[in-house]
Amino acid sequence: MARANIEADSQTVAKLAFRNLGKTFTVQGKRKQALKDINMDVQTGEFVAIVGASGCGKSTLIRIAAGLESASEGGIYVEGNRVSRPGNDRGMVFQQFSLFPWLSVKENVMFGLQEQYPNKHRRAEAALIWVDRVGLGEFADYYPNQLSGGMQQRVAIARALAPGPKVLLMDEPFAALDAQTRSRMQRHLLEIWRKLNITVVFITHDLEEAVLLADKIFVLAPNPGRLVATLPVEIQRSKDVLERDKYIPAFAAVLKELSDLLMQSVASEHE
Amino acid sequence: MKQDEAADLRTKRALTLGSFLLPLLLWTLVSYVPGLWQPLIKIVNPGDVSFYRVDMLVEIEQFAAQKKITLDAGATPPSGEPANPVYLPAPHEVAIALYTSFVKPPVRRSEVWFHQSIWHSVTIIFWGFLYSCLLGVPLGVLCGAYRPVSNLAEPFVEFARYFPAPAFGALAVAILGIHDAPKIAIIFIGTFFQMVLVVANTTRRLDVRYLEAAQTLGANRLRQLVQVVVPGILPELYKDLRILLGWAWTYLIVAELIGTSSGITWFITQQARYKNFDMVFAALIILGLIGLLSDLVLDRMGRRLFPWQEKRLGAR
Repeated sequence: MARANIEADSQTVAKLAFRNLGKTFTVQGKRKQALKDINMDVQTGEFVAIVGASGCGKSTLIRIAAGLESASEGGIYVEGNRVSRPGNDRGMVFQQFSLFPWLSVKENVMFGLQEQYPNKHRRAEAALIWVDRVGLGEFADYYPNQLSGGMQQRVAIARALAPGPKVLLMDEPFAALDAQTRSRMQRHLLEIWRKLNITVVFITHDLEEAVLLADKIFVLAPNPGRLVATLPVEIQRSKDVLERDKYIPAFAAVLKELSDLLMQSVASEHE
Repeated sequence: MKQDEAADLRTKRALTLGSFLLPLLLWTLVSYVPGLWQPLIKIVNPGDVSFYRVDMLVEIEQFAAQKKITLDAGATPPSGEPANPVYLPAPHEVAIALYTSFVKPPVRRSEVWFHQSIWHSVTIIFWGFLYSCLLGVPLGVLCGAYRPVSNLAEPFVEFARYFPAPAFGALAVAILGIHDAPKIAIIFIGTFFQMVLVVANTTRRLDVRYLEAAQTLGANRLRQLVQVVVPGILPELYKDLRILLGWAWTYLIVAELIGTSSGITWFITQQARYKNFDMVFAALIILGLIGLLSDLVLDRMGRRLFPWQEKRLGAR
């Protein structure tokens, strides 16, 4: 009975919830409000994108979610539990490749598994499964510097997912990659997302990327960073490749809507 | 591409060789080409000048004056050939000295062979630098990693690093006796305070994203220190220590002069006292070689120790 209750609860409580979130920085003695009254819900298994003009606080937002910075008002909740510090219940993939250069691919993935697998042998086995999952099995013993940018980000994804986080937070993960690698990585990410049924929060400034990948797009406006629109993307995903066909009129329509929203959000600031 | 690299490497090697050959060439020219420098006259035959002796070095003007005096008096004039001062021995003399310094037994029974004095110097450096590392590196890392530790330790270290290590000579002898201990202490004082600051700085320069990544992977502070900070700074730390080791050699000269003078410094001062400047140059060359070779070895070892630094982008 009790178990059924918990399950019922977990369906009503959002996987990741932002509640009245605010963040104020003090820069050279002046207080600057970076985020104001953010309320957003991310459901289990959902892929959401957060877009906004530069300076709208999207990076701050995800850093608070990761626990790397603290909220000034309100808070972020993972399955109803308030986030106060970093932890491996939330996986994080950074824009700048942040793999540990002194560890091999396998050892990088092993880093987050130390609590789950105190035994080093078991830990290596578990890590190898993840290295295989991102298609880098034959590079398990390479150092990050020996890999291309796209491969490094795949390792970063494997490393973030290995401890079994409830949410995968991604801060412009593909921004530093070239166009072809980026599109391959997008497809790859969608495959992992579908296969493992994970919840993804994806920050990007690339609108096309947001429409291509996300179920739902949150649009932020700058000064102070605030939520101005929530845009569900209802374009069908193609069955085998999961990403959307960007050459159909519906795609262009959503992209235009999103672009207009962003233009308004920046324009309103200048008035 | 490959050919360019090979050509670059050849140019680099040629220049490296040149950087040694140029000073050697200059030295050779000054020593062997007559009239290039040679400000003195070496007496071959004293003639009737009463105070001249064979092989004596005199100023050119004085020699000319004496020559004129003897000629005017109708006596036998002195003869001589141009020569360099005694403190600039010719390359071949130094080369011979390099050999004889090793094979010549010590003058007195209480004295040591040349290679023994070199070895003594190396052991002093080794112990002084080792103690310095054992304390300085952990303290430096802690200062770099934790602000409170830095606030507690660094102001005093900043103050103490302006103490000139040689100034501790008398104190070190009074406390530690006249043998090796005060010498090791001088090396320690000379390198320790700098080391703390340099290592702390290197630690602070570690990219914060590695620490943030570790935090999001559930690492606590101890694990961040041991598994991220320490391995993350190792290559830079290694470079720092190589530079600081050079400082240790500088302090060696001071250290070996206090108490009972010893090691290679003793050898150099002793030979200078006998005016065996060829031996002095030989000892300097040996010192330079030890420094250069040990640095080369450490550099090679560094590349072995930290293979992850090498970029190999073949696997795209």
